Amino acid sequence: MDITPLLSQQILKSGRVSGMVFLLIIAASTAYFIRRGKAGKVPYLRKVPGLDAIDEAIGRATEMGRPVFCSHGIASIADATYGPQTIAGLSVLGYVAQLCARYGVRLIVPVRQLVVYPIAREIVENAYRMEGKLDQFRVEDIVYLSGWQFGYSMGYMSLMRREKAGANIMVGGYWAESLQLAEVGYMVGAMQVSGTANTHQIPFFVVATDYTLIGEEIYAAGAYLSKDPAMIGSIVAQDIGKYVSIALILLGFVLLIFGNDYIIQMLRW
Amino acid sequence: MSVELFGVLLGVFFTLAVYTFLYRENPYSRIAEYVFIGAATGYGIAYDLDWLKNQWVGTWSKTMEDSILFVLALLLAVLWYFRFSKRYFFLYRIPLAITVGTYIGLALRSVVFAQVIEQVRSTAALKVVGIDPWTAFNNLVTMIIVVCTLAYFTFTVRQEAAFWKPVNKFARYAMMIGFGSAYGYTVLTRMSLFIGRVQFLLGIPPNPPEAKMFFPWVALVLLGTLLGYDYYKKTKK
Repeated sequence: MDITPLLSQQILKSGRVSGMVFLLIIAASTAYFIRRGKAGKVPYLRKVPGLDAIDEAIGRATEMGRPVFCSHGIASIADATYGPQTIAGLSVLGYVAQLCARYGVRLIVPVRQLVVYPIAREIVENAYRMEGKLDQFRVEDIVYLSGWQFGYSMGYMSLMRREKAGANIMVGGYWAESLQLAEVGYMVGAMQVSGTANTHQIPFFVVATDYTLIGEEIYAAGAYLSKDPAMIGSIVAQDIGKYVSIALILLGFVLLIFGNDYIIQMLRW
Repeated sequence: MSVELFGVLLGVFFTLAVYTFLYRENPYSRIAEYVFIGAATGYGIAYDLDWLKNQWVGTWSKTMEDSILFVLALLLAVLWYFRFSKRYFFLYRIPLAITVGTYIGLALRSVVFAQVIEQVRSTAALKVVGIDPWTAFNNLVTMIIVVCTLAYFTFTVRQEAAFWKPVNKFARYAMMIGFGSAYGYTVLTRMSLFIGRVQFLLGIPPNPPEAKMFFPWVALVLLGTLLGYDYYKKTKK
């Protein structure tokens, strides 16, 4: 069977080839850097500026004698698109829980996803165990609020008001509840550190919280805090994807000035 | 009072009870919160069970093969609950792996094409010659913004060289301008939601006109009791 027409018409004009090549580059880089990280060669990862603010916020809450709120967003961990944000949020939660246990400050974790609840609980419990303060771990402070977005938001807001939050750390996937939570955090005088990769919600966090991790900074933050070779490896692979993208954009742009659209056509394959 | 009318009264009460949260956290807002969370949970469970029933009746009960597949899916779903068992914890990982794997597989293609290839191609295709000067300038700025913002979000290089400073600064300014416009747009949307609630309270069609009748009385009761209680507490001190 002659497949040439099929190749030229359906595959070579659909963008599938370039997509596949790009995907292979990212996948191979991820696998390579994860293996390298596990072998002890952990690549350099720069610290995201907002991370220092987490220490500051917990310290401030400790001084004020108020609890720290730490949430990881409302996305399910099983969601392929938004799940990584929850994973990044849970890494931050581990770090926050460790600091809270060290300083003896109460930590409240509002949870929306049933699947994430036991994971969050385990992370906090482990952090208290590692600090040798398991007796201070309060399981009732890992609060499952509601599976419904605004039920969760309403519960979170009321909880912050009732308990007079001293710090509110929100890193993960947030949607329309972002401004509601950040506003109430501001009203109760909590120092707030936020971060989400949902671009349409970043403006609200930027406006209403003290420090914001923008977009992909939350993944870098999660990897930086967890020191997990797999997470750091995937950040390196993402960076490689960005370098390839920048190179293609610049090359395509410059070539187009001279009337050559080879890169643009190549990306149509 | 008819059921419909009682529903409108409840609607007015809960709308105002939620808004009293702006004054302070109080028993009315707490009632609204608990009812909302409880109703949402109950509704969610009922909705899921109904969906399951419809799936069975409408699709999966037709043939023996489909029925077996449905039962297998149910069994897989039950495995989620082993998250709560210390002994059989590992079983919970099976549905988790299947769900994550399936979604990642489905998302990979669309994400790579829509968020990478398509974006790179569109940016590389921006023309700066042979078009009017304003469009050329706009295209050039767009291209610089995309490249600088991409560079800003690289985390594995030490950004110590001199050129990083202006690149990062430009990227931050560009993002803030974008966030500003997105903020303004979304606030307008939220205002329209608020207007919708006000229209309900004022009984403006297509909302039930009875709401207009209940609104002042319910507002008076809520405000009166809240302010009265606070005044009483203040004078008692």
